[in-house]
Amino acid sequence: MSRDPIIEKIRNAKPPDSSLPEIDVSRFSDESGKAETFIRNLESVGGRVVHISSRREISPQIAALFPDAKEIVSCVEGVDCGTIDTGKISSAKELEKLDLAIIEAHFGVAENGAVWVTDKNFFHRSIPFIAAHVVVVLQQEKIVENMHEACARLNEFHEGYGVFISGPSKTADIEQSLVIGAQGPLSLTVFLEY
Amino acid sequence: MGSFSEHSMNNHSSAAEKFIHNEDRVNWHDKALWFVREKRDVAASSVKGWEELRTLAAAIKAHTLSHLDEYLLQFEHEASANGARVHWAMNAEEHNEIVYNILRSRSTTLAVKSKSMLTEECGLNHFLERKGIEVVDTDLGERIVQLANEPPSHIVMPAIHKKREEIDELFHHHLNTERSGGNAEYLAREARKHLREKFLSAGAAMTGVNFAIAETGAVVVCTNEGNADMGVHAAPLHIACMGMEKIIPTTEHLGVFLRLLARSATGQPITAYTSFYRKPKPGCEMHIVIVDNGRSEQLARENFRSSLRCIRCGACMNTCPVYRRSGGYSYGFTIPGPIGSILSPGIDVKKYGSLPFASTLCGSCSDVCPVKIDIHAQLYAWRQIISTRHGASIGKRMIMSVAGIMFSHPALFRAAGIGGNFLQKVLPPVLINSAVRRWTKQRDLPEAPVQTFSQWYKKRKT
Repeated sequence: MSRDPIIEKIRNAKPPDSSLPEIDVSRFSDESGKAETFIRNLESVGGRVVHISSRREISPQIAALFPDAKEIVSCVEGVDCGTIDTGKISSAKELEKLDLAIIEAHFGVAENGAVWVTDKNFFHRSIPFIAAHVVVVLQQEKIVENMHEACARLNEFHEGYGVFISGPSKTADIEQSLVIGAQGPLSLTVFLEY
Repeated sequence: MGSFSEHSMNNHSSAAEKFIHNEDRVNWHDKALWFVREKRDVAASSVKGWEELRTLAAAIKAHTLSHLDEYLLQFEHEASANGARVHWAMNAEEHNEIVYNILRSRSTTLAVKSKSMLTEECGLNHFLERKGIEVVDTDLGERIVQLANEPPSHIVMPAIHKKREEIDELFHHHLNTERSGGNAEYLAREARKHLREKFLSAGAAMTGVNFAIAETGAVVVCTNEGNADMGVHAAPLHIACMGMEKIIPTTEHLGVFLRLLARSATGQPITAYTSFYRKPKPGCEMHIVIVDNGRSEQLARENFRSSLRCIRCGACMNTCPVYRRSGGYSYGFTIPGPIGSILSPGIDVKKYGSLPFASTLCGSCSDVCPVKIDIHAQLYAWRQIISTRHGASIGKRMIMSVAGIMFSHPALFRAAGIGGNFLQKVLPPVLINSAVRRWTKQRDLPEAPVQTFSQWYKKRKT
């Protein structure tokens, strides 16, 4: 076990104390409209926004947007268009053919169109990744301006796993050609609730 | 004084020769990277207070390095309390042994791995393969170079040197795909199918670490493809490998780095996924391997320790006129480009002694660095150490010393302008080119103007 020798080497090598700077978040605020900025940035990373004023609109909208989806998991209360008995799922393998996952976000981030989701928002961590398409439900008033505000909010979360999701999975590894839909979902739609 | 011949080291210019040979390819590579650099500029200029963010990031990292032992111990404490197992490796060999023993303890025969330059540095894949464990890289670019049996040529875009037709051929051969003429969408879809099979049958998922948070014990991994999460959540075992400089104090500090990282790397506002792994999922194991492998030696070097602030965005490569035109392989080190050229001599100054010279010292790398590492100043500092202590190759040393004298003596510089032009006009190219042969191997000197700039300026004034 090299723990102690490594720590010893660091103690002998490290420079004298360099002070930790204060982060003055107000310096980075640009006072643009949070919802508009969120939408613009989400669309720029390949995501899509659907405006809703009530959760009752979600199921019919999903039926219209994803007519071919057969295996659907809903992790959002009050949205009952799920087709899979979630209580029986114990492994990622059983989710292999998942067409659509519907999850709720704790909050969104205007500067990059990201949403924050955690263990609380799904019953298996593979759900937001293995589904071919992902729908995220987000309340419009829960959009923060930037990652400073977002990270400050993370102190409220003690779950074992959480992730910022900004648009669908993507790759540009073949000659810089952007392909939406890499190893994760092929599409990401945010239902923005007013 | 231990002088050494050019042949004992990994010579950048001779390695670059292979790449430079194909001019169309050089131009294509140059353009592809400049395109990414331009996207970075657009992203950076859209953020209010970008320069202030860089200053903050540099100061947070400098602080962390000055308390590195304390933060690492705090991280170990928190991660252990979260249910993760923390391991410490002094060097690459120990890292590989630790990973192997964890995999063996669960009888793993197939492991998937998301991007990790550290495991490249340690040569983990080949080590595990020799032990009979199959490792599948799951980032598309990394899978491409893995199938081609090559290392990554860039730390963010591992297959940036590959043309689509070559990838088409590679996939046809290894994955049995149709020949598509290099259709990126088709090839990415086929890779998706192929990798999904691997995700769902792997016994372990390995990841790198972008940031480790001392305060919470969480490791943070950034991907665009979702491949880290596809692997980790499906497998019963997660092994995260991190260089010890990846630590930051708190989640609040992370906000600064997450604003800088993807914008600097590819011009994106953030990667598609920024995953916080804090506790293993129920019934599963999570291991974190903290690796030194020469980092504490670099920390002890006053002039070079700030290189440990690096967050591996690759911006210095994309902007570097030498990297763009010589390709990642010309460096012969896991981390190519300007940052690799200041890290590598600390690992093995004889082997990597030519790398600090593979630069024009234009300083563009330092200008784009999100954590404000003075890369070009460190390149210059390494040159001085290498030239005085070890003896640089004669040609380069001559050019450097001549340039040094000229720049410090304006009158001489002016005279040399006349002399140079004069000689160029009267001597046959073969003779001139042989005099400074190394520099002109791939280039001809430009045609000499009829008068020098100084002559023209003087005449114009009168």
